[in-house]
Amino acid sequence: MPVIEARGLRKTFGATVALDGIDLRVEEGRILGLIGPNGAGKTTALNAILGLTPYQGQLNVLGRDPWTARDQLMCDVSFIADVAVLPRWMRVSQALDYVEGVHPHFDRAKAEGFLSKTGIARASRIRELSKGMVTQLHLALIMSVNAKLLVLDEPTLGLDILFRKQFYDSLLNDYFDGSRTIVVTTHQVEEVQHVLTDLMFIDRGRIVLTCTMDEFESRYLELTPHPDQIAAARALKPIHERQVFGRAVLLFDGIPREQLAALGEVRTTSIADLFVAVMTAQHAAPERTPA
Amino acid sequence: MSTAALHPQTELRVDPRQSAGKKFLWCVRREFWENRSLYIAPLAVAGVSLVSFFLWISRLPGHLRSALALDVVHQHAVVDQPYEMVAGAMMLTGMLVGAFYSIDALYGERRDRSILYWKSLPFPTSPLCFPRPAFLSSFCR
Repeated sequence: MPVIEARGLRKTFGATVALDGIDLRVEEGRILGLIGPNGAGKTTALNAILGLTPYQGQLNVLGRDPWTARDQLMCDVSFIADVAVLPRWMRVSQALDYVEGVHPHFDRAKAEGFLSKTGIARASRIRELSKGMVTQLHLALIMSVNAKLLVLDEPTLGLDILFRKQFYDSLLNDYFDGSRTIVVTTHQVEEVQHVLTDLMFIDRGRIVLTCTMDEFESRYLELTPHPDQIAAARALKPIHERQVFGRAVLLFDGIPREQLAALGEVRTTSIADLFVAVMTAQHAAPERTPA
Repeated sequence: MSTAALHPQTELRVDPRQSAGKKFLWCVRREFWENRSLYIAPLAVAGVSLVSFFLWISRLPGHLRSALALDVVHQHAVVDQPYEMVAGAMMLTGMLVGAFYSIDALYGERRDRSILYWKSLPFPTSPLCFPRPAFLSSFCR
């Protein structure tokens, strides 16, 4: 059974179409990166999955309808909507007590273990902690919940690179165990590239690209052609071309590596470069009229 | 491998519906953590009143002697007055605390976005609001 299954998921705010009939299927044990420009519909999609907003179309999360069965669903789903949402008046010890009191799948000893690795004092109020510490606390709370699905919406927004790295490292090393599923949206795509198993680009409420990371690595190759081979390389129809230090760098979709290697230097592209290529192509296409 | 097989003990622990009463108590506790003035202000006023009563008692013989010299209506007033003042002070405290509590009760979490944190916990959204009407109605009494 897929963890998330959506068919024709649609959401409009007045005349604005936030989600325009999305089909989505996420299997157990995947780490899906939902990447898109601002206003693409990422957060709306996550809100629908978490039962925070009504929607049109079919949506099943862990076999339940998130809008009508939200209370039961939240026993098996955790989410971090933004790093700054822990209530500022709360003490660290109260946060632990509270989650232990209300969450049937919370393991307090585990949370204490995570916290002991940080410098967070139990008696501190959350407003006294730095932004990085609040994130560590939130992550400690979330990682100690035995959830089947974890949804992260811009979890590392506003954090410095050390905390961001630490965040994803502990998520992978201490939390992810192959039976859990993680959906993450972020703009810091370089940092999640090695974390993800699946990739999805979303733009103007539609999914514009979806592939596994294995496919990504074999399908999308970047070529810096020898100067005399540029014309031959362009004949293979790159999906994007950019200039780096005066040299052309061409991005190809589905051209075998050996074929490209004859023309110049080949390497696997980054999600960021593919994202720019796909979005540039999308936005060059004529704007769809709103339904 | 399923999560249940990995963590059998957590699957057995609680059915969320079983513990609705327990969750309500956590809700009430949360309200007191967040709004400590709910109990600190009335306790402080009660403390001050108690101290004043003790001081009054220490001078009780003098008060009684002067009261005896008055007529019955004035005697009544002298005996009643301290109690009425304390009752008035307690009511005023309740109203003030209630007013400040009410200002934030429906919008505070939305403003600082912590509503998203509360919503990430397995909690029926409606009982989250139950302690608040209960508190509010107790202030209005």
